[in-house]
Amino acid sequence: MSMARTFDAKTRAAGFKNHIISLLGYPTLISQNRYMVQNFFRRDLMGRFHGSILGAWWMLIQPLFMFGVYYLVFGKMFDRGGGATMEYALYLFSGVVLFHALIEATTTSCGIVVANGNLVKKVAFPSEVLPIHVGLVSLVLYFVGALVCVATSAISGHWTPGIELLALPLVMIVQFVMVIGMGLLLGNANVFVRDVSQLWRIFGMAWMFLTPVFWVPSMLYEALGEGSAIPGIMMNVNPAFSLVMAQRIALFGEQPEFGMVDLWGNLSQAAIWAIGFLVLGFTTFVANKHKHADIV
Amino acid sequence: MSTVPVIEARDLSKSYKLYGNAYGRLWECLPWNKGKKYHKTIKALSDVTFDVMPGECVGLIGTNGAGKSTMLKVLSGTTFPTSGSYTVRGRVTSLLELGAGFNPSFSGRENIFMNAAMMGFSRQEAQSKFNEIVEFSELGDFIHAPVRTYSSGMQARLGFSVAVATDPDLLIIDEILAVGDMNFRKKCVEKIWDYKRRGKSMFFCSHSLYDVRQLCDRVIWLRNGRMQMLGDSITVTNEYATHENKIAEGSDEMPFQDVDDAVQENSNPHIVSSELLDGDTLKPRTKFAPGDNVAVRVRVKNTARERLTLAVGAMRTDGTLCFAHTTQFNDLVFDHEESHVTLHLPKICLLSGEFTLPIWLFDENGNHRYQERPCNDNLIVQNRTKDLGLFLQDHSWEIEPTNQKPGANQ
Repeated sequence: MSMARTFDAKTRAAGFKNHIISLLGYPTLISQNRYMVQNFFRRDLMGRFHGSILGAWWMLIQPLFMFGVYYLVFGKMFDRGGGATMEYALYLFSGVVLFHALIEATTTSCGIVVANGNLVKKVAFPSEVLPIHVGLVSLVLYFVGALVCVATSAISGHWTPGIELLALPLVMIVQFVMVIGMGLLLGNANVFVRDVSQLWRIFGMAWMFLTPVFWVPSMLYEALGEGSAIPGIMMNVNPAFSLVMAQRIALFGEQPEFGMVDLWGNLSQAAIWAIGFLVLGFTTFVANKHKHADIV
Repeated sequence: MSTVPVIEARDLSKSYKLYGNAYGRLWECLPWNKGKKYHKTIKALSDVTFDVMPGECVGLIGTNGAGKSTMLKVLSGTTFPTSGSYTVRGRVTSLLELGAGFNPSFSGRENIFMNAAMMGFSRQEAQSKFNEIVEFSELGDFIHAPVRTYSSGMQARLGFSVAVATDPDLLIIDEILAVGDMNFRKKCVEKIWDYKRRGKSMFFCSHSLYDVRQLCDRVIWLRNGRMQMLGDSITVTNEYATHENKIAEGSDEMPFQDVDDAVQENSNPHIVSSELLDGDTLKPRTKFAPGDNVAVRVRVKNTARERLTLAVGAMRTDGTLCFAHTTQFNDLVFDHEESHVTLHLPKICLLSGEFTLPIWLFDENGNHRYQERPCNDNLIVQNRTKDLGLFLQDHSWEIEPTNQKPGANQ
């Protein structure tokens, strides 16, 4: 008789403070349900390559092929000149890999409660754990992509990875937290208004072009003039901006000509965004999850 | 045994909001729509309060839509009450929908582990239970095949096996004793009885009053989301059965009608009134228990002084004629202008149910039927025992072992 589950409709409207307290218990909750997370994770990852001949190798083949395409198209065909084609391809690819992981994880998390409606309705389990495995899968995919980046840069001799590589795990943690926070926020919202997941797809694409994935920050000043305030705003209101730059610095070291400077500044800014999303996402999710089973 | 309840439910209410369209919910959130209502509220449960003590099996009965499933879902923790509170102590397993949460494209094996994980098992626990689950489910090598290739019976078997492997302190069951073939069903029932014997608590919802009576110590009767009655299983199921029969009767046509209403006002013999009496005191009474003495008194008017016979029967609400006796067979013919004909039924052996009492008025040979109408009162019988069926047959048992090896039981 150790376990007791109490629910009181009166005290349930617990308010922000109690949700923050339960946020502190989030890691414990995840660890208690690690076997469940592990199963979801395995199922998700295996499901992607299930039945294909090359299986898990696709995780590597896809980014390699993508890198080849980016190198040819953006590096060679649209040569920016200055002989920096390989660098530009690396710049571009590292951005795409991260952003792809970010978008995919948030899009999946967005539909996670609805997609698991069967479970949410019929099995009593802590559904706030659901986005965790999505974040983990995206980290794995990102990590393979990052490996491709590092290997190519090391082999080609451009931008040889340096001591900053040690910060990559930190970047990944920040990315993970940001993905979980956004996932909880979107996943909860999508239960109530299903259009959120459709909107998010559109927004995701716009977001990619607002983030320095394809372009270099200095291009903004070239286009808008040196004194323009817009680039600064774009940097500071876009959570992905600092994250993308931080991970590039971690992978390739500081490259001032590509705007890749100030690892810790970028990383801490991304971390603040990530924690903000986690707090917002977690509290809204926990505050509303008792309604999920009735609506899904 | 502990005296702390396993379930403490206090004023549980649950209402659902039904929105006319997909955006009602959104419009309602908008600040300028404050006060406007875009939904209908459906109250599924209203102020239900009860306790379930350790080792107790409490049944839940009620018609469709009475709130039974909502109650079970609330107690399982998949949905939450709108108001009120509850506490559930100990490990709970719900057998609401077997195999809920199975992913059809994965094998039975993978689904077992997934399901175990969802129920909060650790990997070690899941692995140690795995063989037991497979064995109980009788799936054999099919356990490695995708669940989508399973028959519905196989899926349910797997679901049941996974659920009962958890060995909970409280088992919440929704009408699932009908799983798989007869053999497996027997295993399920045995498993559930095994829980009961081991002093585990159960919350059991079923339409089978038989199962409820057998398994449960106390029963909750839900009606339109409210608790109509809470009490020992026999009393509540009796009340429920009586009530339901009454409703069924009200909606259906009477199984028999006056053949000839016109006769009543003319000089032809007719039944003036009829009533149900206590067989001993001859005072009006409608509720009896098996073994009680019952009397049916019929007042007959016969101004033409025809020679008459009278018959009284008992008909269960489903139309089964349980018995019918006529004065004719006892060589009783009467021709009084006005008379009371009383049928004494000492020690009635009918079991639980409500019975209408058809009365027929015949001529002396039983050829011509003057009138046919039900008695004004219905006979209501309520068991005090768990016996089942239509009537209480006198009986005794004798058990002798056969095919015994010589000296085996000395």
